Amino acid sequence: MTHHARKLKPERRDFLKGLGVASAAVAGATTLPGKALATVSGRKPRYGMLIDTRKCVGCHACSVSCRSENNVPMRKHRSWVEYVEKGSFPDVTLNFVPRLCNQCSEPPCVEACRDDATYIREDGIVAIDPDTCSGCKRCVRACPYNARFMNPDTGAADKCDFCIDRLAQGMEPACVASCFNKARIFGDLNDPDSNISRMIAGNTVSVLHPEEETRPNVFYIGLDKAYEDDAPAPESYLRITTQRKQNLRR
Amino acid sequence: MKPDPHKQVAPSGLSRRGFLTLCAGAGAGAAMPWRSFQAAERQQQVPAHSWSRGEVIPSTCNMCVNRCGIKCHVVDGVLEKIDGDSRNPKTAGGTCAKGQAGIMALYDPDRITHPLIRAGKRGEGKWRRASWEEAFEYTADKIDKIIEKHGPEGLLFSSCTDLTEVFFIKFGKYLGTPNFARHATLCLASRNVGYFATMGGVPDADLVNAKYILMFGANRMESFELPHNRDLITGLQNGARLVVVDPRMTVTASKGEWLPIRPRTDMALTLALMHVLIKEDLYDREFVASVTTGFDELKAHVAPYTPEWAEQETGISARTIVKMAREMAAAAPAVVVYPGRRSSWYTNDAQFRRTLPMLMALLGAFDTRGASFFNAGKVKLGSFDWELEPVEVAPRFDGFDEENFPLAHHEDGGYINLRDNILNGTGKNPVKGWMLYKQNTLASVADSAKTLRMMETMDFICAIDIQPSQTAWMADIILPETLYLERLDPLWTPAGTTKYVGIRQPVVKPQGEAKTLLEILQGLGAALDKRREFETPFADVYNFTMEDYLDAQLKKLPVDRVTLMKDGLWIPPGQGLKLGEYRNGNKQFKTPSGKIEFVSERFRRNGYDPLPVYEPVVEEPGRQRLVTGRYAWFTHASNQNNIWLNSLHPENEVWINPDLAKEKKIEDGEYVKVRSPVGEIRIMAYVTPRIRKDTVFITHGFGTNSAGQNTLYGKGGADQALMQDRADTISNNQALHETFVEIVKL
Repeated sequence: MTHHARKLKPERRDFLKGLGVASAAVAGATTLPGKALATVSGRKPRYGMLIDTRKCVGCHACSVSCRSENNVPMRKHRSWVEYVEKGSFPDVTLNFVPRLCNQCSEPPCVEACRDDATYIREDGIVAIDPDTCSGCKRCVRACPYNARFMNPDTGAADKCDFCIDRLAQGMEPACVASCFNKARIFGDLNDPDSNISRMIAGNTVSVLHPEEETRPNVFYIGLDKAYEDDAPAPESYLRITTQRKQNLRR
Repeated sequence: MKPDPHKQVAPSGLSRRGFLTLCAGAGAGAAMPWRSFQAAERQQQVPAHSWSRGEVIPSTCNMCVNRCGIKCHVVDGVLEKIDGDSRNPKTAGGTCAKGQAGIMALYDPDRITHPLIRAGKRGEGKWRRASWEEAFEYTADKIDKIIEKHGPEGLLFSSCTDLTEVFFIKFGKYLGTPNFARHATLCLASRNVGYFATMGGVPDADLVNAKYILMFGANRMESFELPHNRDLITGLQNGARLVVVDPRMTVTASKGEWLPIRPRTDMALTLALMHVLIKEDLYDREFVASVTTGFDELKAHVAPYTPEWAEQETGISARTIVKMAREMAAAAPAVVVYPGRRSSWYTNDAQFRRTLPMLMALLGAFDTRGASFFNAGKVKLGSFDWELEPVEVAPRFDGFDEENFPLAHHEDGGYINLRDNILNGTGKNPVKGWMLYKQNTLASVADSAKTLRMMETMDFICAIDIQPSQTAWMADIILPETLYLERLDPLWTPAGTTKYVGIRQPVVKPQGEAKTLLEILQGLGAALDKRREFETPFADVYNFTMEDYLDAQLKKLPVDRVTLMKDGLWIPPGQGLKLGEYRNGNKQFKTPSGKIEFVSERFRRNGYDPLPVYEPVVEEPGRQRLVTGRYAWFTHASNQNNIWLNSLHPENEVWINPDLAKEKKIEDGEYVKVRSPVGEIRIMAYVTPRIRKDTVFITHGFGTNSAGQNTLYGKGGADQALMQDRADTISNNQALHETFVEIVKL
């Protein structure tokens, strides 16, 4: 049983409304996705991602695009996709949950880091300085999303950083750019007029592991559909498959 | 940065670098093993990847047949990243996993980068490196000897669809052989024959505005056809209903309503749907009266095909069928009855495909918003003026001709009867030489043991490929072609709602000594000129550059090659598709009557049932029907060895329904034996409720015999080793789903 899929209680709009209110105080910065750190008004953006699982077809364009963009070593993953298969023949559902670092506003990894190698940037991105990282793995263990890994090439902890280099060039993260069904929306959560803010305001969205109180900046539409009834009867069937590993539960 | 393949960990756990060392140690002899050729030049330190450096070159992808627009980020001559081109009308900026993994195809450590001549027995894997000069002389010598002994008919040319394929086919034609085999009869030939007979073409589909979409097996979410996969998602967001009829729950089926039909009974469902539409008077009377012929015959024909009868055949309840017909009628004309693409399913496929446009016509779901339509066609490219003398050509050796298959496209050939003819010696001129371009027959045609036997009868096999595919591994010589990222190709223009011209151009220098197909044919032609006298020497026939070819294509267009290379594509002004021209009678269908024909005149004339007659299914008790299909990250049998793609799915599995697994005491993840009348494989079981109990599914492209495919070798099982050789009786399209297999617990 994968740790990250258990006991997911998607919280609906109320949660986000609360979030929206909380962030309203710093809202106002207008940015195009990735128009990077220099904002028009001088206010800082807070980057986030919204993943519409209804549009996701589990094609792994994001997985490979990320590997290519960030030269992620084989068998390690910054970006991965869960196939969630449920039910019994012929009443079966198949849903997809693309996964990545949740870029938490209250990141347990940052708290766990003794070297100050991992930190929150001014734009909200949780980043890692591989040269400072001592490779103690505390952050890997601390992450409730299983999003971190040790990079054998650098010896440092590694994970998704929303493609910082692409953002600096005014480009969207690699996974967003490659998604031909546009299942991913990237943008500034502090800007109420950004596409992502409007989509979050207009839809029922949820986050992974809200009970961890990490305040993720990666949101999902349709997560409840993927994970609902996650308390199967003895005979029912649930399988969560990712390219990282397979788990089967009956 | 350039991905360093040597850093990538092989699936076995052995690092690539370690593997290389082993190979190099073992390969000191004259006939060196595969890996020792590949190598040291690829080990280089590269700077950290940054978009602040380098250049972005637009081009066209070739990881599958969709030809999406791509932008290639190249730094210091190294391709670092591929992005989609957002200006491309078909792809709108997206790419798929395969498109992303083009980099790994380019820098694949298993890639062939210089000519290789077989140095051991066929398939033994012993090769020696040859210069291009030697390779050309060697090949020309073999071709010359075969022509000397058997005439040019002794040669078979096999190729797969690509922009450059024309050069290869012209080469064969100029040599004088009539024997070609192409991709269509492994794929969509039966669909084309069915649709052309019924309505004179295969329509496009307005999936964005459709209210009801009915798909038979078509798997747009995993087997991409752009822009249909994107449009389908948009259509669903717009509230369309999607019903997918398939014995297996594909990703596409998961996005809509899955009807797990008993395999090979699809025609029972379409006939019963037509029965209900007519019986309940739900069909589009006006459309039927003005645009179709043969309605009265159809009415009488479908009268016995009741929903209750269809329930017995299909396993779909009569109630569901009646409900479907009513719902489709309510949504009409904004209904898409989707034609599908790979239709190499059953031996009656052309007849089944005919029922799809018939159902569409009853609903009036054509040539209007949200329905099927004929799209605006392509940009008219100029044609290159080949200085080709007409060569007198013998008839095909295998009887795939006007007389035996009057409605089929004969230049496409058909591997099933072609192979039988070679093996049984029934053909007039036995084929002794085989030229392959980008075609992996051993992995693509049912009953691979039989294909191997056919190869044993050949005196000479030459494979032009980028990798040691299953088929190339059995060849006598491999000529390494450049990858799509290294070459300029003929221009291409797709049929679609937005016309455009796209260019594929080199973004990096060729790896090793790889040559373009045109260069290979030029070299080979010159070597042939030395041996034989042709009316015009090959040196003159192929005396042009790819740039010349493109300039000829662009002759009449207001855009030049240099601009196109800079922009990547050209979208002509004055787009726009006018619908309704067929409905109001301004345009005629390309059928004998000019209308959509319920009773096909072409079928009648050629002795086929003019109305589709249902054949009851014969099953084999205790065995399961084997079906095949795609995952979204593999194309045909071409990129399962790509390190990035393979890591998503290291080996294929056989899908087994949980009830069947219980009966056989098979656990998920356990290795089982799958046995058919023609073969046996060992493969992992994937126990899943996403498939019927009477059906098993195995995806394609695994179980390679090529030890040169280091990532793939030893993984999974080959579906084509199990499949029996059947073909659609009208189109000669191979029928891949006609085999029953036994699952055996190990």
